Amino acid sequence: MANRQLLLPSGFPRAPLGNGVGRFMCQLKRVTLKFCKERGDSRGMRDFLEHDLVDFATKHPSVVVYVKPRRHRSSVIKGEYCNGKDFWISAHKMNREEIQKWLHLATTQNDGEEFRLRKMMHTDNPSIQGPWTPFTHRDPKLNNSSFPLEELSEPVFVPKSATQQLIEIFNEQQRTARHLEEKQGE
Amino acid sequence: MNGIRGFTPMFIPTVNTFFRKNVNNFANTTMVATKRLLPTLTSIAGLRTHSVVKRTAQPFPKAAPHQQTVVDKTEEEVSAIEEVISKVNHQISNKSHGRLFAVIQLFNRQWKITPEDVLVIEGYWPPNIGDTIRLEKVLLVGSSDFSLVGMPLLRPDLVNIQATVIEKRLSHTKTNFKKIMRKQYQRIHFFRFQQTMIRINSIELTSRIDEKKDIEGLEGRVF
Repeated sequence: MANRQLLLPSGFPRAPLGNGVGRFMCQLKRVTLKFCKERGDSRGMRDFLEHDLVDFATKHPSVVVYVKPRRHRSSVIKGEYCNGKDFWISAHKMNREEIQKWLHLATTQNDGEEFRLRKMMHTDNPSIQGPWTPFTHRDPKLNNSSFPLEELSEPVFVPKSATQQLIEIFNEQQRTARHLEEKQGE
Repeated sequence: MNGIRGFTPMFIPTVNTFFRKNVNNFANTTMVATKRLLPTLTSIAGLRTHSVVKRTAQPFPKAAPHQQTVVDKTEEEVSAIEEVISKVNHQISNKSHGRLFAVIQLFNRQWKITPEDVLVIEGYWPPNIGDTIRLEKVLLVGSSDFSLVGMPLLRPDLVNIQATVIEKRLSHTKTNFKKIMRKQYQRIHFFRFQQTMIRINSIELTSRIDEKKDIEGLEGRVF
């Protein structure tokens, strides 16, 4: 993570006013499209207004759309949200598809704030069956026993000693020899 | 050549001591008997290999029920199982189980969720804001009293998890900076990734757990 991103405001996943619990509400309330009628850098915006604006407005009945022509200034998309925050982006020399894309982003986001997410989920109920403790799934008789306990002080796994391994090898040899003899006998 | 090809050793008695595992195949049948003859480590060194107290919870069985050997249960076991199942079914039918949680798989990632959670999914994902979706890949559902574990998934007609897409935004600008020292190579790329936030609306158990239908998993499907 770069230094700049450490200095960014950071936060946790959030949804304003319990959005999505019960009902969903689009957070964009007003969008203003500023453009020039003459200059070439507003051409994409003019195309958008000509072809897609009515579709956009009918598709999003909860959003108020303002169109603001202004002479010899570059085109701009500005959105205003429920929480009072703004999203501003210059549409200078953008084509129609780019403007569609940025307007879609303006519609779908909660506000224009750029912040770093510290977690990828949020929950109000972190545990339903109770958080894990060192005593979960342990034998309840440990409640009454006194510590230090000899049973628990021993190693969980003791590797086989050389003697044990030798004994096993010897037994194996005996067994295979017996088996051979039986086979030969047959 | 023919002799070498046709050479089949009767058996080669080897014991791989490194892995402490018997290698020859025929021995599998007699192994049980010989194991009993072996002196245990306890008798030699006076040590215990394993503690009597179980340190961990028993793992869930890994093989699916139809892949396991069927062992006849005693009447006591059968009655105990039936009692547990009837209690769970009673809670499901009364909806007295309280808040449920579930483990789902979404976007190649497993999440532990409970109603009213917000999840953030990073990357391109088609659902748009306001869409209500059903999360069908459910690995586990649990309440305070019981857990239902799928092998690997739970039946789709058993659990119904509804979620709403509430936001689609872009992440903060992430920087990808590459530089090779003394080679006059330096690149800097900026990325903003798509993020989709979904709200879990409800987790519901919709049928009895011991129901076995002739055809499963076809509810709500259009062919």
